[in-house]
Amino acid sequence: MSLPSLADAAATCAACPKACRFSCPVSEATQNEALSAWGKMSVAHLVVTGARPLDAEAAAAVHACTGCGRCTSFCAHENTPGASLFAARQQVVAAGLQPRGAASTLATFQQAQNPFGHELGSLVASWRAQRPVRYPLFPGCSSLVKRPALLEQTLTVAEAFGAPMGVAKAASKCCGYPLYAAGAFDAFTAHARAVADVFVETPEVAVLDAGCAFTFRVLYPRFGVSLPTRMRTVVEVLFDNLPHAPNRPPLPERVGYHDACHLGRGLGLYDEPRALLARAVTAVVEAPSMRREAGCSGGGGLLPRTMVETSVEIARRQAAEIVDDPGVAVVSACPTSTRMFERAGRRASDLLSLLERWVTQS
Amino acid sequence: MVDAAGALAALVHGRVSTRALDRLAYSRDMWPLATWWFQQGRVPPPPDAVVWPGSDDEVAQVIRLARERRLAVIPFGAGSGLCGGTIATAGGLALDLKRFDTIGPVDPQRRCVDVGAGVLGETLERRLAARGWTMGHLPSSLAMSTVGGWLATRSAGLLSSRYGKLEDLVLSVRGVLGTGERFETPERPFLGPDLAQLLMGSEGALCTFTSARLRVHPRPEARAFRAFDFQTVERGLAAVRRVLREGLRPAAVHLADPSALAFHAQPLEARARVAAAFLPALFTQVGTRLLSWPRLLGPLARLATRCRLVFVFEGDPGHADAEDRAAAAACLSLGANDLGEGPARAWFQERNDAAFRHARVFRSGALIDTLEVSAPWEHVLDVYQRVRAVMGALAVVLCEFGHATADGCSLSFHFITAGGPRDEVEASAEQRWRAALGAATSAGANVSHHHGIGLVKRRAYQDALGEGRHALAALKRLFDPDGIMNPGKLGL
Amino acid sequence: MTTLLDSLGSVASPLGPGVVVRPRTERELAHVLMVLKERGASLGVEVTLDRAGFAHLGQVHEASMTIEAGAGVAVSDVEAKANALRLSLGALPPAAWRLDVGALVESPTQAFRVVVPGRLEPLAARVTGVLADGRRVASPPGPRHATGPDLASLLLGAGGVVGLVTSATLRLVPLHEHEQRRTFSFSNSVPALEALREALSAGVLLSRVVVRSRAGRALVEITLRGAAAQVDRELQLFGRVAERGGGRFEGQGQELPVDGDEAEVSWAALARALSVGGAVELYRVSLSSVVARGVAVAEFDPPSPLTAALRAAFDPTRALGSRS
Repeated sequence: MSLPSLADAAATCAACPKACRFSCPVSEATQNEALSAWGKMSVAHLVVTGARPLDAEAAAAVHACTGCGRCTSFCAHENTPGASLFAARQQVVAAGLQPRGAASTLATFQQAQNPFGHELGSLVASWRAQRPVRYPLFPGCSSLVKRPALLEQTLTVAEAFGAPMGVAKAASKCCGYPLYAAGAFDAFTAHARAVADVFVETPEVAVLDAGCAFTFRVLYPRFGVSLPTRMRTVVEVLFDNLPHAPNRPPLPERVGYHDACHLGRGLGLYDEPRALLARAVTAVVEAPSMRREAGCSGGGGLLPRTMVETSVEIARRQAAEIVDDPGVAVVSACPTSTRMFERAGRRASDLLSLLERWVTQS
Repeated sequence: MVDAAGALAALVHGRVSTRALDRLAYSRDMWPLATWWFQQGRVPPPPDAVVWPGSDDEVAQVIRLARERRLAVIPFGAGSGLCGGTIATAGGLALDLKRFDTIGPVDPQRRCVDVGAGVLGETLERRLAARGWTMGHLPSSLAMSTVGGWLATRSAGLLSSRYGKLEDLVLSVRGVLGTGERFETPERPFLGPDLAQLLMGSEGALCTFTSARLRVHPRPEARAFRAFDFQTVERGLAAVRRVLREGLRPAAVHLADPSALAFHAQPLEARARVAAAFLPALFTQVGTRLLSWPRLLGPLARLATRCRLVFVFEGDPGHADAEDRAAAAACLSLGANDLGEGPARAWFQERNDAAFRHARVFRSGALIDTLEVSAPWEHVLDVYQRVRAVMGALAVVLCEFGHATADGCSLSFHFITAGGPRDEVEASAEQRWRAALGAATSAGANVSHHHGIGLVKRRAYQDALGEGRHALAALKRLFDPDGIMNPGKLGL
Repeated sequence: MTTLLDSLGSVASPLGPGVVVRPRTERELAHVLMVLKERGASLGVEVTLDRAGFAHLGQVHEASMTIEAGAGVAVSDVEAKANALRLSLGALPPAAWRLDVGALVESPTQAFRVVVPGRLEPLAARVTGVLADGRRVASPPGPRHATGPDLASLLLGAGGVVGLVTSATLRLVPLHEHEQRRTFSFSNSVPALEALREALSAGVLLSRVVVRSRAGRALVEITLRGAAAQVDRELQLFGRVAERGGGRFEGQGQELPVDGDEAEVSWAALARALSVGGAVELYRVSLSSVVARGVAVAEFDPPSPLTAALRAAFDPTRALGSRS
């Protein structure tokens, strides 16, 4: 996003009477007006117009956003404070004022080409499929590094649905979302181009992490990078193959469903995960706010690194919003969301983990 | 203040901030002049600190400390007020109540729920809806106002003709007085003055609220919508009176005068993208120049007379439908053009979009002010005509009638004016408020139906109180002997 | 030494061992209260207040369906004047008709009416009066307001403990053309009371209700008044609500009265009273409380400390006496 459009978006928010006030997960978790979409954009407005300097406080304010896009769902102007605040982070990087968590993420990424500092190539090699697969799988570095069990479960489910998957060689590349969220837009663009080159031989990929899928399908084109590959989420692939799923009774369980931001608002996938869930369990609890208006789990926008406690509090609140009973698991088709709910002390399950239990039940 | 910040932090487990940007966010509510200032890069005076207490005891301790240190205390909901009611004219502490964020279980027998003062309206209504209940309180600020703010200003919602204003929905309130003492008002039946009614509307000048027991109703099974056009405002108002007199109980009643009809006629979402890009520029180039000649626009606006009336009935499907049909018959007998449900449903769906429309006006550099008053039916038309007559020379005037009951209704006037140099804008804003409130009250209206008094109407309010100002002052002495609670508001 | 009678001036006259005062203006009433304060005397003890001097009965405002009346005007006279224009004070509890306007508007029990959906609203759209400290207070015009604390609540339904009403603008309704009674039976009083609350929430206005609870059965007789079409709509609505709550239509009803004094009670107190059998007659049936006959004891929360503080602030010498 260019500076003039940031100025325009910020001025619009600064003139608005907080009409999206209740939607911002950061302001709800911190209970701070300064961290509402209105508050953060008001700061951006003052900085852009020169009425205030860009200082450490302002830098922290523009980083207090998960990029969930919920505010946009309630904005009749269709303003995008999330994208605007991420764009404003460019200035923060240039001024050397990044919050510590964002700066360290950026430094790690620049060194290892992923936010975890791991060498992903060897991890991917360890998942090399023994048999031919129908769908190369892009798990995302988060699952690759932290959730090997989820990968195993995904492969099992895909097999059971008649859509065998295997970890793609290209999975050794991070999608680059952390660069985008850190405001390192030039680095992100360059990284996206490099990723696009890796995918050149791959006509179709199933993407496990909704954040990666959002990055490929929405952010890359926004930055002028087009992928030659058909990028679908694992959820979409499984939904298409639902007729081939094993004919098993649903598990006698009650779960709450969380619409992950990148999957829902980002990619418009609301019905597909619900259809899968409806086959797997007998009862699903919906949040008072769902689908396009759903709450956020706090995992985006580098918030777990810049505002650790706040991101966990966001997850705690969202889990409670979906289902009060802590004994009921919260299910999400996003590994990041699932991890956030677990960090908040809630029983949580990835949709794929649940499907795996369903297809393998005796 | 530095000393006090340390002491405050000890009282509220560190939940206090003196950071510049936190204070800045609490420096203004949605007072239009403050919004206009902000567009120019200016901010009202901020509080010295923001405090987030988490219990009644913590609130009491903060207020006691403020008394000792002679610090102002400004209770803060979400800052959606339009009257400057949270402006920190004397610095002090912004007391953010949002940690009071619990929503208790609904008591289905007693039809009530206990709600913390910091709960945002949209959150509350969505949670209630998920359990099959509603408060029926839908102010246009639902997404950006809290229960505490509603209590402080006697808020009104779109469906007030049926469910009442906030004061009709409160069974009891809890909070802390300016003395630092906690209080909880009794529920009916009780003896003596209705203390909840006495404290609601006090705009933080007597006490702060921490929670309330609120009335809830089962969610309506059905809603019936219908819109009518009338040739004149007089006819439209007569129709509203007739419908209410016939014992019909619409949930919502809304009559847009010709100017308001023109301003609100365009659907917002469908054209948002184009309009957002195009309208501010158009408004800046053309609209604001025209606004400089309201004497020209006023007569032009008066050429249009058509007004639009909307009724919404809700509840049992058969009952809502029967009331809708009866209302239609009453309106048709007064010469209405029945537009069916489409425009009424659209109005209901876009009911909160005024905020966005107003934002566009501000973006263009112009100013839009809202004055809402209420009057008994015998004075409503006179209030409308006198305010328009007086304000027609100063601004483009729109008016919406709503919140109708058997004995009267509210009139919401919107005044759109061109921007300009700061001194001129401030002076003309002051002049507009004085002229409009003078015209309204001399014609038989009060000074506010649901926005409150704040800073903007304090003089008109004190004038209207007459000898009652002594009673108000006595309450202030009793409940806030050191005058620390939201100083300057209500003229106190 | 000046006697109390002399200090009170021309508005006072002897009445047995005491004094009766008949002020006709707010200024005179304020003077009386100031004298009482100075001399440590109280209404109802040394001095009896007669508000008959506030005898103004104003014109009926047909547009807003209101009438302004002085505190000394009999409620029945207000009704007569309203009736002449096909308006009425509506279905007040029987005891209300024996009061004057001042007593009606100050009464914690009688000062309210019920509007849809089962909520209470003051009978007085506006009220003026004099506080115990001699200051005049008046509510703002308009059906509702957001003009600071509701100073009228120092008078409205407050039992005269802080101030006294001198006049009120009373809300009226169209004079009822139509009255219908229906009786429904329920398995016991619990679903019967729930059906009444449900009907209130749904939008039924109940003029009068009689509930008779006997072993294993509760009979509910409802009376609705209003325009014919309105009553018909609400009867149908009540029928649907009752049916959903397990009620059975039993016929037209017979208007059987219940003996006893009127008292404002909560629904919980009502349920307790009916749980042991018996009958209650209900008026001013709201979701908050009802005015009942047949319930032995009215239950009130202990007075709030704030009420005591208000009395101490406005009436430190108890010039208004020990009203409640």
